[in-house]
Amino acid sequence: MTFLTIQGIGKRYGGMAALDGIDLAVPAGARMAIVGRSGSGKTTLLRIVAGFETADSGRVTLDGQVLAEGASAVPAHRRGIGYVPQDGALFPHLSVADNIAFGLERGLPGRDARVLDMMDMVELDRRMLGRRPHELSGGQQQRVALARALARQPRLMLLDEPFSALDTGLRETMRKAVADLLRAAGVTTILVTHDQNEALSFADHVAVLRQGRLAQAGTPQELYHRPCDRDTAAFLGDAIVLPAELGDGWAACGLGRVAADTGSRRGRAEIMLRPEQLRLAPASPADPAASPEAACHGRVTAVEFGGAVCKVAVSLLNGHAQDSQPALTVHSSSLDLPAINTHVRITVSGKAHVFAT
Amino acid sequence: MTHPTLDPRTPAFRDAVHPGINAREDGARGEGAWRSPTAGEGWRWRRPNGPAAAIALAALVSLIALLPLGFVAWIAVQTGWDTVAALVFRPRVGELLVNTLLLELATLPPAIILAVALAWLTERSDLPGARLWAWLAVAPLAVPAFVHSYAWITVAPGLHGLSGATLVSVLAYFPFLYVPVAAQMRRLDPAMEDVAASLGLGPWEVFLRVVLPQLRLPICGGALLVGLHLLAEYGLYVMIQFDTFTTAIVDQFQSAYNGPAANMLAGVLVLCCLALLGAETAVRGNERYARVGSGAARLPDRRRLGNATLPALLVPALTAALSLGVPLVTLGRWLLIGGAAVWGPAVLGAIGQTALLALAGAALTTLAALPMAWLSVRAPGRLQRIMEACHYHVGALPGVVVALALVTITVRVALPLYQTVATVLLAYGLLFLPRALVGLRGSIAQAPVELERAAMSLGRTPFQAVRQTTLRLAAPGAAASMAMVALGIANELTATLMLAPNGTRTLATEFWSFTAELDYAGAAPYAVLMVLASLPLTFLLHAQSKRAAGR
Repeated sequence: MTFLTIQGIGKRYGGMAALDGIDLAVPAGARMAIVGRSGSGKTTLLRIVAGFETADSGRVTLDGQVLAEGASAVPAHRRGIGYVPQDGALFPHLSVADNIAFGLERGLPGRDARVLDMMDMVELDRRMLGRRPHELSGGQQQRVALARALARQPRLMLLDEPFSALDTGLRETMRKAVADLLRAAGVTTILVTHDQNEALSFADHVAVLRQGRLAQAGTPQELYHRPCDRDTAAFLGDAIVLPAELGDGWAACGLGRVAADTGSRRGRAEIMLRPEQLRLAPASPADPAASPEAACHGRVTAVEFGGAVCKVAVSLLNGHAQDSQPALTVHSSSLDLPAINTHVRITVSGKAHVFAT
Repeated sequence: MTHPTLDPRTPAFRDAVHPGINAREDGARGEGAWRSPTAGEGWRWRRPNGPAAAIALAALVSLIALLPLGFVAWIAVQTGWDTVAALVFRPRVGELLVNTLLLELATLPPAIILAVALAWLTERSDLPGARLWAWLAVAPLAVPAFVHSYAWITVAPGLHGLSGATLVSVLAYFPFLYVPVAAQMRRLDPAMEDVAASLGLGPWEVFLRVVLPQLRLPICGGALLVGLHLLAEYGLYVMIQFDTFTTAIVDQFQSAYNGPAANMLAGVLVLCCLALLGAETAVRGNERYARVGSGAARLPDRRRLGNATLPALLVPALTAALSLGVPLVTLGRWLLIGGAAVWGPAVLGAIGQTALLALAGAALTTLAALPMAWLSVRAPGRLQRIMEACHYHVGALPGVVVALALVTITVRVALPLYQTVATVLLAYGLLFLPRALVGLRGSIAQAPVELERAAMSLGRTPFQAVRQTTLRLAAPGAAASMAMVALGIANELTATLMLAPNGTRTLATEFWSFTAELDYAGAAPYAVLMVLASLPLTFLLHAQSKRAAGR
């Protein structure tokens, strides 16, 4: 059941195409993340959905109602779409209570009660009602901005990098709190962010924008494990991309023969593995001859301790490796970190992903 | 917070001596970006701080600003209570009080509405020729108030009393509101308007509930400035035949040079000014108007006027016709009548003298207002409020009172200073302190204090931090306020007449002496020159204020 439909949206600034034929469908109740580097057009797309800007071409439909078609558009204040900008944009001349009540008509029965409900919903202390925005911390400001947008029970909620101004710990807490809150409220949400971790953990649908075009859309798992190309793969996380020779359900590459979704493809192709698919085990230099196909061996060249996840750089030793092959980066647990210059055996779990082209 | 002493090797010293050079080095080589505290030999550290130095400087300026008021009080004490009561509690004073109050109430609301409408049209709508209209909204500043009235009584000889005074006052003074309001509109965070629209507010509601409240500071500042001018203006109301305290005081002085009656009227006028100041403080409140949040604001969008474009064009066009067209047409007519005969070599001399006095006075005044402007935004408190009042009250005193105070003080205490350029500049500094302060304060309020702190964390001394962040950001406001001070000085009349060394002939004094003899054609060249000299300055500073704001 598609709730928000974006069809063929295009927008140019001067000679530059900010958006070029974007198609996107957001199911009701979904949490969609639009992710891309800065300048990819993600914020422009959000502003077109919100009604702050008009597209040059294309159509936006919300719950069967056409919001924008070409240059004609329903004005933002008649759309019933909630919006939380990057730094909250709280009204500095109003108290917290007045900020939250801002979108509620004066004299609306239960207005004050609604403000209190919203305060509870975003877990803000009721004693803060009389405070001014500048007396709040960044996280509190974002909570107020969210409460202000939610108070009107919007059909759709737009979040424009709302967590990027917060520090790391708070960002994760807020992300989870907001996701839970929006799920409980059942509000369809679009989050715009440049942070792929945020997109993958917050959303149940992710769309990757690149230079004004939609690179790929799907569930976080799909995008992470089966990205359409090298750039998308690298944008969503560390990726090991290797040239390979495809067989029936396997690919022969620098790591030996690994399982792969080859389908009907054969011959040369690029495959991708996520670093956490590789496992390291201690091995002796004499081993390689023992099992030439099933596993490969390498030498540890660098270790980067990173707490829960540590990165180990390994250069391949076996016959499959080309000289030009750069060292692989493998994610390893901090408990059994190999020492530099030790020999390790590398095993691959799961399947390698074969890029389409 | 510590900073190095003024050792010649330290950046602080260099800044004090060669501010421009250091700024260029910072930009070109990034030299200033990395200063280790241990790098300089002989760096000493002490515990001082920005506020303490600023408070000391502001206090010094406050004390000097108190001179004229102290003079009035001293005269009152000397005169004795019975005489004071007899002079103050009489029908004539009540009449003047009513006149002054009516003038304020009739002038301020239309001036505010006009300024806000023009600012919105020129800054936030797609009005055709918005840049031109923005210039034309500032340009009436170049026409001195008494030239406005000179033009209007030529066009409409029957114009007099409250209605005439209100009309000319609005036209002559609305730019004092337009400039700060337009500057603030440029800097509003458009995300707030987006949010308001997403909360279901139509364009009008967004303006009334989000934009207008954030214009409170510039409106209050501008209205205070206009209000003070209404209290202090002399020439305009003499020509339009409307009695205010100021005209009555000058009358008293002319009839009796050292009359206690005039001093007592001045005392009442000071009370009026203090009441105005109190009202502004109460309305302004102590809210924060800088953006809450991080990052730089997007540029505001301009709204499409659509079918309303033509009626909207009428507002700036009509304003320009009345505030600029009328004076220029009148002056043109008098010039035609006067012909070549009115242009003598005396005109050239007046130009040079006026330019020198205006520039020196503006620089001095802006510098003098800086510590107080910074304090009133960054470290407001009871002491600062009092000092602020000291800064403000002096602007409401008519030029004659300030001038007479300085005459008396120099004659009795510092005779070598009597009738010197230093005394004239001091008078200018006193008279135009509020102008400089309002502009500076409004723009400093827009620069977040965090930037100053960030600069200090990058190794700048507090003084450098203020100079390189807040002052940079406050530059539009500072430029605007300097322009206003220089314009004010170029058009200042009474104090110049009384204090300047013998032989000083400025454009304003020459103009006034010709009109006093009813030689309107002879006065025209000086009026035209005052307007012409001020026009480029107005345009330049208007353009600079936009560029400095990054637009």
